[in-house]
Amino acid sequence: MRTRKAFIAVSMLITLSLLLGCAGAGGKEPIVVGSKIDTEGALLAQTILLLLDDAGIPVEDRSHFGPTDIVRKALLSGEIDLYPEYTGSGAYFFEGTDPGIWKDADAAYAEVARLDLETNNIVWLQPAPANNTWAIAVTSTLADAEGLETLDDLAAYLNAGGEFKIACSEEFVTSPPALPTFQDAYGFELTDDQLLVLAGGNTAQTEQAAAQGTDGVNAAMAYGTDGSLSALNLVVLTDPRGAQPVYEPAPIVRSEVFEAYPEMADILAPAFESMDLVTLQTLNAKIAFEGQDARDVALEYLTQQGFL
Amino acid sequence: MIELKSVTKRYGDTTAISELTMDVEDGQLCVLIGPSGCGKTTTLRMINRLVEPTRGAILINGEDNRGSRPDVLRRSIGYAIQSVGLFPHMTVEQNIGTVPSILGWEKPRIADRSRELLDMVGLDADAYATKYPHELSGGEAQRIGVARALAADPPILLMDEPFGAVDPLTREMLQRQFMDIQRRLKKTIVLVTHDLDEAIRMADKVAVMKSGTLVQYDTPEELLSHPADSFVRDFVGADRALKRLSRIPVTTLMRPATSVQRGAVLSESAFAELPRYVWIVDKGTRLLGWADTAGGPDSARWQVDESQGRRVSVLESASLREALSLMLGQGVRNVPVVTDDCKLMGEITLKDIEEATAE
Amino acid sequence: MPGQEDGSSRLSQCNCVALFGAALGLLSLGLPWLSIRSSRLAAGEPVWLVSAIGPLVAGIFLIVWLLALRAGFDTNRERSAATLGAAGALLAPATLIAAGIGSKHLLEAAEPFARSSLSAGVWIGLIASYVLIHTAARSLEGRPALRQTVIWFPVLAIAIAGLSGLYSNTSLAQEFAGNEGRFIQELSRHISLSLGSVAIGTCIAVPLGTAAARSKRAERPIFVIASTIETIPSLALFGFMIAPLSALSYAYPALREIGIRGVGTAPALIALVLYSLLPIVHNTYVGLKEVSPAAMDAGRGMGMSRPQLARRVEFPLAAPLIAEGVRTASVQSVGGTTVAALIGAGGLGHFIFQGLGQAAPDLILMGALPVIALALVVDIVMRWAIARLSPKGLRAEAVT
Repeated sequence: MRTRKAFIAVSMLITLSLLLGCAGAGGKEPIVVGSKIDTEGALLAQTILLLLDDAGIPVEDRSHFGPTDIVRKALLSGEIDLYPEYTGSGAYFFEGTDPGIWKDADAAYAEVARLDLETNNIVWLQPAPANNTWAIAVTSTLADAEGLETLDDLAAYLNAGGEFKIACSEEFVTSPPALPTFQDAYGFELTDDQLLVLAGGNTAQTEQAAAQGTDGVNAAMAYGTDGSLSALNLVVLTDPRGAQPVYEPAPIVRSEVFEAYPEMADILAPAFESMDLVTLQTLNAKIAFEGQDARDVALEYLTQQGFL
Repeated sequence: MIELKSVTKRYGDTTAISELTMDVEDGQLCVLIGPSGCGKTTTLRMINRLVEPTRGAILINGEDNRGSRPDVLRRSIGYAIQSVGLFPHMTVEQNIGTVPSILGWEKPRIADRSRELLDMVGLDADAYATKYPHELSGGEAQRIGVARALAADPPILLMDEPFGAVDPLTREMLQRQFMDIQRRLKKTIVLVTHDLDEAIRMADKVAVMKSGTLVQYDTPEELLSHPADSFVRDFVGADRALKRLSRIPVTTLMRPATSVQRGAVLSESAFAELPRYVWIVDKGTRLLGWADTAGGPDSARWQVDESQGRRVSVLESASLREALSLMLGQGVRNVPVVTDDCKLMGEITLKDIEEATAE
Repeated sequence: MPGQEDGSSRLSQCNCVALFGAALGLLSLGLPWLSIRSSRLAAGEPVWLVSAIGPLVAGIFLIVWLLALRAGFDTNRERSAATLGAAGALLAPATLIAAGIGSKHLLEAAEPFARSSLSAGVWIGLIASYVLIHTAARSLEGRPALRQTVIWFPVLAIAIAGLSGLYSNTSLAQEFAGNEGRFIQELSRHISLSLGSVAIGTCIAVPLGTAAARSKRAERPIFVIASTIETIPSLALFGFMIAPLSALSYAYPALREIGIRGVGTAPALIALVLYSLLPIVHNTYVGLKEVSPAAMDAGRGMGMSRPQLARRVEFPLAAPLIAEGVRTASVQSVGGTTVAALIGAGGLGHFIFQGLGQAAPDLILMGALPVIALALVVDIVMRWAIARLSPKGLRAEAVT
């Protein structure tokens, strides 16, 4: 008897806690803001959350939701309402687009905004003018020693037989817009022992590997706005030939939610416009390098710039 | 009254019980006995529908036992098995109160009844009510099994080797105790056992079964004096005459015993009337011993062994079998019968026993 | 035996577990205690014991560990247990507090964004203290007050020290400080996801286990399915859930309204429910099969209907084993929920993957340690609850 009563009580307690935990949304439907599992995504998500909240719109924080495809699926299925995405990703999401479009910032934005609205009812808002695209960064030691500034310099160095090993992810090696594009555009080819492929690798790990010289690595796959570059003494090689597609971050939102709150375009635009490459690098560095909370960094920036 | 009418039970191609017909009168204790596999347990379990007969019917007080739902039927029939099957997670009190609880009795009534039954089976209610089955000895557990079967005061009791799982000494005590209870309650009981002595001691009627058929259904005396065929004869054993003796209490054949007080002085005529051996008692007729009168009237010269008193006698509650055993062991032809505190009541002679057992 | 002085017999009587713990503790003094890194992302430099906590404190630690070693040889069980218990109970919080204070001093002298992480010496020291506490608690069965003190004092001391900020200079604490709000949110998500899935799983698994126990025909398919599910790696199972749930939620928008979508809580919950099935089904099956046939026959023969038999006899007798199955499933579920963060369901895995993404090991720890602690808490609480709620008759039987 005691056993049964206790069991019922306990399971009711559990069910209750489950319902409470999953509920989250109460009263008016808040806008659920998500992001990918990376520093910049968190920063931009917190920026969005703070701005919308300040304007009196109810929001829910689901940042660091998951990897790209999970977050995208979540948006399409309505699990989340808004997240920051990159214009260049349009090349993945939509087949049969002209590759040239993606190398031009404005054209890329226009194309992906059009396609997403038509196909998926997703609205793209004002992007930030920062190109967070694939890049190759080398240790400052190497850069100084060999005078490497651009990818042209790197090609020359490689073709002259220079010692080189880059830490990168699987995606970087195989995905056409990444390494293959670099190699085609600049005329070099990396051999297998010049690659250190990290499973599921992200730029934080590759940059750390290069900085520590793990396994003879002296270069890393990086993104344009990575915060740890200067802290780890890595130098990004510039892309004068414009080989890479442009990746500008912009908030993207489900059209039903946008129609409910059309004012969000104007609320978010000024802040995003202000975030150029250097700004994002600095802000990212505060999170990744100093370990500050993304929310605090966003709050400080927005307050300083007068957006809040 | 329980009536089995041409009951047959088949399992596939095997026939376990074949055309069994017998009646158990109210208030009688009927024992089913037979070699392993004779179907006695199956028969028992058909009465409360734990097993359903293939053919035939079982009537309880004139009504077919298939008339009500099996579980409802069983609540009015007590059931006690060899392995007892006490519920380990319940106290003794809760175990005993199982059927009353199912029948919806109020808690106070169940508690009272449990205590009453514990007393009836000779266990201290205060001490045992809150114990758990794992704290009980084998004998205690079996007694509680019987108490549990009696809890709702069912008119019928079915018992399958209820005293089986204990040592012979405990078993005999349990049997005796149970017989006391039965004398008071007069339930209709069907009891299965493989122990012939148990059957002889306890039964009003014995049903001997073999390979699913009823071979003989008689009182124990009849069974022992007139076994129906060679199987029964072998089954009851070549010592059936002795077994019959165990059914007869000594008080049946007791005759008055001649006794003389110790230190008494007898006249010559009184002495002359004495038999060869007399019993010596004290002032309170407590048996002290015996004396051989052949040595003459001088009582001082009689050999009296004061330690003999108890050794040479049987209790009044004993059976003729014990009396005979004593006679054979001592090499004498008569034994005195005494009360619990050794007061002389009478005597039994070998001749009387012989006449009683003549077939 | 008391009084024996022969060396070999003393060795054989020694408390081997205590000796192991003491040896481990002494080893921990020789390993690096802290790791100072110039920034959150840089590589760490090992800091050894004396540099970390100063020669005086290091000396005290050494003495206490040596005392513990000696206690391992002590033949007087009571005295030995008391010494070991006291040593372990004091060393555990002392190790952490010393590391915390040491971090503070070291960081004062370092660069602005430097971080101090706890290193191998601290972790092994903690494990060694735990070993001492464990063996002391075993020997102190007869002294419940002392035993409870030995067990709970270190826990309380560590908690109080944490709350009063003594560890605030360690990298782990700093990561936590940066993520406090989100931590609470993800912790509660983790708890409700893991325990909720077990609650639902129990409602499904107990009937399944009962069916398997009652019917030979049902037994095989039920076990085959449950076992197969168990062998699927958790991430794969989560992944499998996404496609069909997405398709379903697109086909039936009503599902989306109530929160069932391809990613997020729904697939994680379903996968976790599936994982919780096997332990509970198995234990229900065994529990029911082990019910004494004599008790069942007696119950039937006394006139219990099938439901009454189940309610009054079978399930109360099987309940302890079923409860154990639920406990196993719960502990397992706490661990399995960690991966749910990858499909957007949240939970403590969120910090683990974030830490992996940022290559910040202390962030990973901030996710991983609570998962371990939560699993332990769930285990302890459930064991206690099961012991309290077991019918007394069975409890004693289990002991004897």
